[in-house]
Amino acid sequence: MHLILLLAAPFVAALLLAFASGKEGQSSARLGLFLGLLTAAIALPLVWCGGCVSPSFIWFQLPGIATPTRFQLGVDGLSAWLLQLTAWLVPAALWASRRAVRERMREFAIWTFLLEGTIFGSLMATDLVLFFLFFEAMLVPSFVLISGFGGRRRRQASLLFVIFTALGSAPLMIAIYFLAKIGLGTDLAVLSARFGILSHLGMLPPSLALALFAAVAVAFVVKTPLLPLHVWQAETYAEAPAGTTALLSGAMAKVGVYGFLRFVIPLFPVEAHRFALWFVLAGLVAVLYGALLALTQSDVKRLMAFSSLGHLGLIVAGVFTFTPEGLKGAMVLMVAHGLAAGGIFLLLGTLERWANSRHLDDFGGLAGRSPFMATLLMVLVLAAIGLPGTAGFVGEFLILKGLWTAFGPGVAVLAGIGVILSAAYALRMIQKLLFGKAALPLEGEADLTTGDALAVLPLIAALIFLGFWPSAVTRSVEINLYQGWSAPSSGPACPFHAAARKCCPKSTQESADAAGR
Amino acid sequence: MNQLQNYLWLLPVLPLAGALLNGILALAGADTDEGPSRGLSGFFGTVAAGGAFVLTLLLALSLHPNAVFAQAPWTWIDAGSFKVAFGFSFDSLTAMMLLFITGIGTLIHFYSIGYMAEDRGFARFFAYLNLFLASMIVLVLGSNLLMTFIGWEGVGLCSYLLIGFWHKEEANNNAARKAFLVNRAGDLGFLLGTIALMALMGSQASLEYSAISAWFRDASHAALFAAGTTGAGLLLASTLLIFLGCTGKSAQIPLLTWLPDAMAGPTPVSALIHAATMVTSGVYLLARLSDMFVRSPLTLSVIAGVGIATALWAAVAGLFQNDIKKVLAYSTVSQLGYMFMAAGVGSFDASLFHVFTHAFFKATLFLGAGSVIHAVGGEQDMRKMGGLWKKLPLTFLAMAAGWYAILGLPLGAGFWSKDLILERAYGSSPLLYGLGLLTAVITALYMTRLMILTFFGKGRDEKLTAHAHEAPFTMTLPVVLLGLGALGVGFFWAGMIPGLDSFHQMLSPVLSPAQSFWARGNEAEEGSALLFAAIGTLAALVGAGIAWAIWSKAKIEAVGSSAPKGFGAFWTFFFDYIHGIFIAATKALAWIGDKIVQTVIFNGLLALLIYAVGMVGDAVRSLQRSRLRVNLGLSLCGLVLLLAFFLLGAW
Amino acid sequence: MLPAAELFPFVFPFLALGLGIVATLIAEPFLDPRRKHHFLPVIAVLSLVGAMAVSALTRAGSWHGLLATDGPRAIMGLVVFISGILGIVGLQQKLGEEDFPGGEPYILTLLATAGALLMVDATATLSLFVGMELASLAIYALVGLRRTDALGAEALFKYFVMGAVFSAVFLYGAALSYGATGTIRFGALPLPGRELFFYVGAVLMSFGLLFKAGVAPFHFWSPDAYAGAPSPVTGFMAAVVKVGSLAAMGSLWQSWLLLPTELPEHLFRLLVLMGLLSVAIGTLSGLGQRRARRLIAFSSITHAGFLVFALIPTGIAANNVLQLSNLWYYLAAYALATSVVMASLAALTGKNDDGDTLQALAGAAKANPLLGTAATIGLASLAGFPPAAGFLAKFNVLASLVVNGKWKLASMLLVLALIGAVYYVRLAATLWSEPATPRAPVAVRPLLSWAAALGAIILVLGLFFPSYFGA
Repeated sequence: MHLILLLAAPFVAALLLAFASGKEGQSSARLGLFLGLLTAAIALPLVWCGGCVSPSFIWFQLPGIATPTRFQLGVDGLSAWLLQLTAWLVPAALWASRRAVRERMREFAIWTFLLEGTIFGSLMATDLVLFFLFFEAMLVPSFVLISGFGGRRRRQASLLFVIFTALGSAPLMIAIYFLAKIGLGTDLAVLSARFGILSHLGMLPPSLALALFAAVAVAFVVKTPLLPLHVWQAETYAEAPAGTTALLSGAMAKVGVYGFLRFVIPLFPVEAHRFALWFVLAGLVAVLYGALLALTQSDVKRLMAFSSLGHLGLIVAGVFTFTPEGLKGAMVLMVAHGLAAGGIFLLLGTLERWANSRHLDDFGGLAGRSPFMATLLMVLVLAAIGLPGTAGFVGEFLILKGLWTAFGPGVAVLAGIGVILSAAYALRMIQKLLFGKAALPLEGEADLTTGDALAVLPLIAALIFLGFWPSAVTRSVEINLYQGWSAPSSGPACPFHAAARKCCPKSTQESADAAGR
Repeated sequence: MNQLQNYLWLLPVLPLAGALLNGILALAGADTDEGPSRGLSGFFGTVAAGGAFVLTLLLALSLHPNAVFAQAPWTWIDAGSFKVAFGFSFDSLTAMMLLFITGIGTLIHFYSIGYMAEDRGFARFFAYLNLFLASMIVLVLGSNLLMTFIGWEGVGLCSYLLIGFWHKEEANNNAARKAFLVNRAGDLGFLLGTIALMALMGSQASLEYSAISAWFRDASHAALFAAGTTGAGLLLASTLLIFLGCTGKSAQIPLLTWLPDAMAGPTPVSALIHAATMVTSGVYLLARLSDMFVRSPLTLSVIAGVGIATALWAAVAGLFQNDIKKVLAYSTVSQLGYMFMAAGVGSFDASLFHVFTHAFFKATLFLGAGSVIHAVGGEQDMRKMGGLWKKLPLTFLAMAAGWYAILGLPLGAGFWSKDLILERAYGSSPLLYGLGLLTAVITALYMTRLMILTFFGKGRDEKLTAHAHEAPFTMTLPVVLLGLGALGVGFFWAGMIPGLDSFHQMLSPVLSPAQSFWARGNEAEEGSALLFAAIGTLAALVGAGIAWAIWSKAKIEAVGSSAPKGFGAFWTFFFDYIHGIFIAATKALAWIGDKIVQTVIFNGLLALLIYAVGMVGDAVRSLQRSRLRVNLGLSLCGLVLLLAFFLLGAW
Repeated sequence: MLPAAELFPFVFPFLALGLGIVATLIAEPFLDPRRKHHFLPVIAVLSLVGAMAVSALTRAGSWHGLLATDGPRAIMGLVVFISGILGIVGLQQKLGEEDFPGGEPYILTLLATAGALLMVDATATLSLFVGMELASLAIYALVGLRRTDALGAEALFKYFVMGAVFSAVFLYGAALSYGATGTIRFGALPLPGRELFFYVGAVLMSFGLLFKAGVAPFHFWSPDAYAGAPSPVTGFMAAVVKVGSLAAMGSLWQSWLLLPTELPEHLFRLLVLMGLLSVAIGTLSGLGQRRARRLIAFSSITHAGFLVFALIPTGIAANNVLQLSNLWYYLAAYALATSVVMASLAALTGKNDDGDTLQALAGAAKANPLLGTAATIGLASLAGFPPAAGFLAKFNVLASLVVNGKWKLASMLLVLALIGAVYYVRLAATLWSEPATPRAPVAVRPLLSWAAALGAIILVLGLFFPSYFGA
């Protein structure tokens, strides 16, 4: 029930805002902040719940499919933290954007909540069809946010974004339908159980399994993104309004990685392990490529976009080491990057407002003009490049270790070079923005007001807290880590069975007899 | 008295609190026009440092030589089999390091109150300084490699912030960035070395220093890294990588280019971070892991080679500098080279002793230089100074003490530590000894040159030297105290005088296992200590004599920038050129990635695709005639055709 | 003597509509032009709402074998009514802006609605033809509302002529099948020896209906007719005519499927051909369009193609009638989406729809967020993105193709659908983009705002409760 409440919360919030008066931006910003925090508060207990499953009911019947599509939500350690990330980024994003969006705040808040809702849905869905619905539905709100509130070239950006993501997820749809069609159903638990068994008995022609694997993977490669399907990213991140970019890179990109962890690996353990090295290399290519391009960008948001590309690449590489360190490191880094990048994008939004520009050379001397802003930005950037004492370091170190143990020194060194380069572009950005002499006279308030800082400070606090207490993440993830993600030999992955056993025996019953059917 | 060990956590927390307080002061006072209250932040900063010193003293006194104070509040990283504790441990080595770190640190905080008095960013400066102290304490106090790494990158960060402290000047920012990036390269070595070490230790991998030493001391493990096994490779990789980290932090070849540039920071920073404490953490780490390093002779010889090469190179580079702080910077690099050479010949205690004495005399020299610069209104070019000894007698005396010590003249601090090193070096290989001696001569040369140009002769730039005056006592007091230290601290381990080896006694529980293991490996033939001392002193005197002959009478005029020219420039910036190659390569790659791969390939293909689809669309649309007859005709033709098709199908 | 229990509930919707028509007719002359657009639409909407209400009372049943109603038909009826409402409120907005003299458009709309309802309920060729003509004639008049507008006149002329021709084709087919079966009712077996007549008749009837739906190669009229008609009419006709004709086609098809003849498989080959053709033409020609109404026209061609594939039965009901749930669901989704989009755009395209070019529409959604949102959701549904019903509709069609082993066909359609999605997205993007010259928000009539909002909400609900939408 809790989960259904959580899923409903953002949509209800959007509805409430729709009925509230939108005349005055400030008031709808306050309302949005309140509702966002409320939602986050609902999400918070999940971290301790560990794993739970909502009651499930038959939803509708796909044509030509025996087993009906069920409506069921589930949360475990993996999704719980990504839910937290999303839930807490939303109020921050709303609050930080209020000066930029001004009187259109209500609209902005409504769409942001819808985006949050769809992300929630895709993180909680235990049924592939349900997941796919939300996964696709993400497009609409993010599309409106980009093309309605974005920068000058927002039209191309939004088009690029929608087309790429839609094209990417088309094969996923086909694969889902096919899985259902060959009688495996679409309920993740049942499906992975059956599928695992099939592939273990070798009853599935490998070529077919391979095709399905590719079809499912490509959707997440686009979403994450990895090369060469990253073309939409820089443009989109740069043109989207800061508040939205924070969500895109902070939360939505993680849904791509989540897809790998939740669907690709449990459903296709054999293939995933067969191509692990390829994914790791793709990730590392993204790391180096992102870092190198970030070095050359003159647009601040594009710079950060490429840095996100790099970080996500490192995360994917960590995932595909299939070592406990690698997976946990990836998990920690996901949360860390979400917080850091989100915060940075929010601050960059304020800077963009002050300077009416995103060009690095138009800035300078902020440390003198607005020390508060400078300090926060500095801290966030240092967190982003994984300074020890922030969560990012733990993630990066664990991933490095995982890479070394799984694939030897060479790979680890490659990743390490990426880490150095990331410091290079981060410091370049810092120096251009904060130090030296002011290039342009900036408009707007003299320094970050306490109100605006309140949007970012919690993120920083979380980053440092997790930097010294990463076990908060790594432990809760264990609910999943040792159920088949690590090695194909350990049998089919079934993330929700353990969870179900924990909380609701009823749903185990169901999935059990579903498996019986 | 042992419940004291429950307060280990307080050691870093004290300066950290100071840093936070000062940070808040700085931010709160930012928009006021006179800036935050100097008295308050100076007080907080210095008290925090002093508190840490007192606590260290109490701990050190209550520490039994062979005992260890340890505290691990919680498990920091927990990834399945791999766990890292958030732990502190305080043994005699830690005690020694912390004593001079916090001690000198406190003095320099005190000094800064005077030195930075005029500066707008007073509170910010003390915030950074405290933060540095906290990180340095964590570095030394950490009970495992990753804890040390927190401090390791923490001090790197503070060094970055303090080098770029006056961030209006692009030059300072570039120097700061350079320092951070070069160190990051080293830090990567540190991390990968750590991982390699874990790979070597395998199932019982642990990053706790105690565990590592124990593991290596356990003879049964020797087979794991016997020659020819993968373990041997891992050990070599691990030691070399960690040493790479040390070269970054301690400015050794190849990662040394950042330290001279780092002089862009305020002088107290140069004294504390870039002379006394941070740059020596590499030596500390080698000593910490001595049990590991002594089992990889190849690495040790590499270290010794790198050490002496750096020492010699930097000493020569010191000759070409006219900027007083640059001279001292290269001298620091050179002295650090001595320390690494000592570590390389397996005598970690000697290297640490030199760390200890060097901290005193180099801090003295830097602070003295600071007073001089302060007196002549910020001018750093020695060619414009001269004849200052009358104007700044106290500073002159203190610096003279420092000079005496670094030359290694009898009974000065350097006398004991440097001779010890040379003696051990001789034991290992006469070549090292020879080069070391040569370095000692050159050291005497450039130091004497510095003293002459600065204090003797007559003021070469009247408008600077005319109204030079002694600094306030907040600055002179620390200088004088440190000067006394520079003369005295050598007696903690006066090799020739029996009984005076408390330093040696103190460290032996930590270091002796490694050193005895090493000693078993290669017996050194003993020479007479007195002979070595005589030769060392002679070398120093020769150097000083030559310097006096050249520069006391020489006619020096200040033309152009203080940067060296010609061969001097080539020699000084040799390694910058090499770094330049890497930077250029990276930039080229980045350019290719941006302009070619992203723009041409990816975006180009995308544009092509869109264009193609549009073209097809237009083609089809042109079929859509809007004339009625045509439309009707087409429709009916379609009808007939379909009907025909149907009938054919049906029949 | 007919039992009232059978007759009356069944006639109620028509009665409600008829009352509405009469009331509007009577009221129209007595109102001065200014007020017409205040009152008449209200009456019309009320009668439609009334019709919806009473159609809830109608039970499954048949009336003299001419008309019948059942679950799907009831749903289609509702869809027709809702489209009618959206059309009327759109007309109110548009005509009010243009100070259109006279209120006959509302009457015509009601008549067309009634006709479409007849087509939906028809179970005999004759009643089907009556409904078809009733709808068509009214819509001809609606297309030509702007008497002075050259485009409008051309559109009317073209549509009328071609429509007449294809009505004839349908009638010919009906006659043939009557001759072949000896009855006008659907689902009768051909008398021995007359199969050929029966087949040809069936094919010709289907052509007549598919023409109305705008399936290639009988689609040539639609771009001009759609682009010439006032934007609310465009939406209305796209929705109502498609529902009427394809619902009728559906019930015919159902009846043929039950016959022990090989008509279906032969006919289906044609259908596949035509469907693929119209999807291809609609998609590719739509890409380059710059005017919203032409874009909707090509989208209607595309969807007509998909709808043809939706004729594949999805299962067998209790009374061994084959179910066409895909068809009903797709029809509902499409009709709602189109009429929502066009009703919203009607308010945004300005006088005489001069402003329905992409450039002119730039930023419209920002000026009127509510309508913009409704239009965006509608477009998402047309493009086939969640969270709108259009997604599941397309998905079901493709799925059932796959089930019947038509992999290649399905994948071709999928690719075309993805390409087609581009032009809806582009329209939506334009709506939300930055206008060259800042545009003031349009004063929207409350009826329109409410209707558009409700329509959009129903569209979204449609995805999550498909079973209530015929699927």
